[in-house]
Amino acid sequence: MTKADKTKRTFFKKAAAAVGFVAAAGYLSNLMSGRANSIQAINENSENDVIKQKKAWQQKQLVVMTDSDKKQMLDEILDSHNKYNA
Amino acid sequence: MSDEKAETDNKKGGVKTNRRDFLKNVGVAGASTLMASSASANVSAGSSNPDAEVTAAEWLQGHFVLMSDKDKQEAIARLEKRYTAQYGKKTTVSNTPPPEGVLFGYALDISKCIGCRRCVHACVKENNQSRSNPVIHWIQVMKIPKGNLAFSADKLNEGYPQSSAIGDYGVQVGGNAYEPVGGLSTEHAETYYPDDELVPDKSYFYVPVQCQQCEKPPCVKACPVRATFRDPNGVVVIDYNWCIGCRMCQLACPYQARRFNWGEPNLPPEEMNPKTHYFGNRPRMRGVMEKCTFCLQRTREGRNPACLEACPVGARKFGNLLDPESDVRKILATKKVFRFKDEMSTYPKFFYYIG
Repeated sequence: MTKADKTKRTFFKKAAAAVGFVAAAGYLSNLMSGRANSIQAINENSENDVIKQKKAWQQKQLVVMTDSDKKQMLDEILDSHNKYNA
Repeated sequence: MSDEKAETDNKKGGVKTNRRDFLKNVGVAGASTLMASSASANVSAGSSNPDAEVTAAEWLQGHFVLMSDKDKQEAIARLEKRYTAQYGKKTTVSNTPPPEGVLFGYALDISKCIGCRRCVHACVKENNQSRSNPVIHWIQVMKIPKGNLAFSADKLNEGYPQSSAIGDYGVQVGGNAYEPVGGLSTEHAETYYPDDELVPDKSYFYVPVQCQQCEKPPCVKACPVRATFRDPNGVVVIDYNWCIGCRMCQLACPYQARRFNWGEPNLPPEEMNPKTHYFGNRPRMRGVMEKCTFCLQRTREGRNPACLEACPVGARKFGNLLDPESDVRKILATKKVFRFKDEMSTYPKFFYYIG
C-alpha cells in the first residue's frame, strides 16, 4: 500500500488546480451568458420563434365546415365549458 | 522563522506568532469586513430602494389564483408601485374577475381582411409588447396566394358517408370529397411583408393568426407549474410571476402562438399603456411567456378587444358563444366557417369565415 502524499506542496497544487477549474468554469459561463444576453442573440431567438410559427401554419389546411361539423364543434365547446364551470 | 520552529513554539504553549500567521489573520479579518460591509450596504440600499423590496417580494409570491384576497391586494399594490416608478406614470393593475355566463369566441372574415396590420399595431400598443430587441407581436398576418382556395360552396352539404356492409359509416363521398385541395392551403404563406407594401394585393388572402384560445388547450396541459390556465370565460391566461420560462407550452401549442421574452422587453415609457390587468397587458419581464388574452383588461369590463376596434373593414367579430344572438354564434350558424383539417381536437374558439 502506498503512503498518501500529504505534503504542503501537493495540497497547494490541488488547491490551485481546483481554483483554476472553478475560474475556467466561471469564465465559460460568463462567456455563454454574455452571448445569450447579446441583442443579436435575443433577436435571433425571437426571429426563430416567428419562423417556427410560420412553418406550423404552412403545414395547416383550412377546410370548410359542414353544418354537422359546426354543430359537433359547438356542442363540444359548450359541453367542455360547462364541465369546466361545473 | 521556519514553519517547523513555529509549530514547535505553539506545541510548547507559547503565544508567539510568526509573520505568516499574522498576515493570514489580517487577510481573513479584511475579507470578513469587506463581506459584512457589502451585505450591510445591500440591506440598507434595499430598505431605501422600493424596487429592491418589490423585486424580492415578487420572487417570493405564490400563484395568484391561490393567494388570499389580502395577498392579492398586496401583490397588485407592489406591481403598481413598481410600474409607476419605472414608467413615470400612474399605472393601475386591475384584478377584475371574469364576468359570469360568458364564453368568449372570435370570428374573422378572411374575405374582408385587407392585410393592413392595424390590428397588429393596436395589439402592440394596447398590450405593452416589446417594441425592439426583441420585437414581439401577438398577431401575425399571413399572406396566402388566392389560388390555394379550392372548394365549391354549392356542393358544400352534398357529401355523404359511403355505405358499407355494416352501415353508412364509410368515408365521405360526393360533395367536395374529390376536390384536389378541398380547402385553403397555407402552404405558400408568408408572415412578413414590408410595411410600405400596398395592400390588399388582389391575388392574396390575408389571414391574421393569434392565440386560438383552444377549449382544450395543449399548452395548459404542458405547463409543469400551472402558470398558464383556462379562465372561466374560456381565455387561456398566464400568471407571469409564476411562469418559470421552461417554454413547454410553446412547444405544445400547435399554432406556435406564444411568445417568449428572450430579453428584457423594451417598452418606451411614453408609449406604455398604464391601464393594465394582472393576467393581461401588464409589462412582462425577461424569461416569461406571453400571448393574446383577447384583451381581457378590456373584455372583462364589457369592451371589445383592441384589434377589433382597430380593424378598418370590420373583418373581426367578438362575442359570447353562450348567447345564440351574439355575432359569433350567428356567424357560426349562417356563414361558411373554416376549421383546420388536422385540428388535433383542441377546439379553437377563433373561427375563420367567408361572409
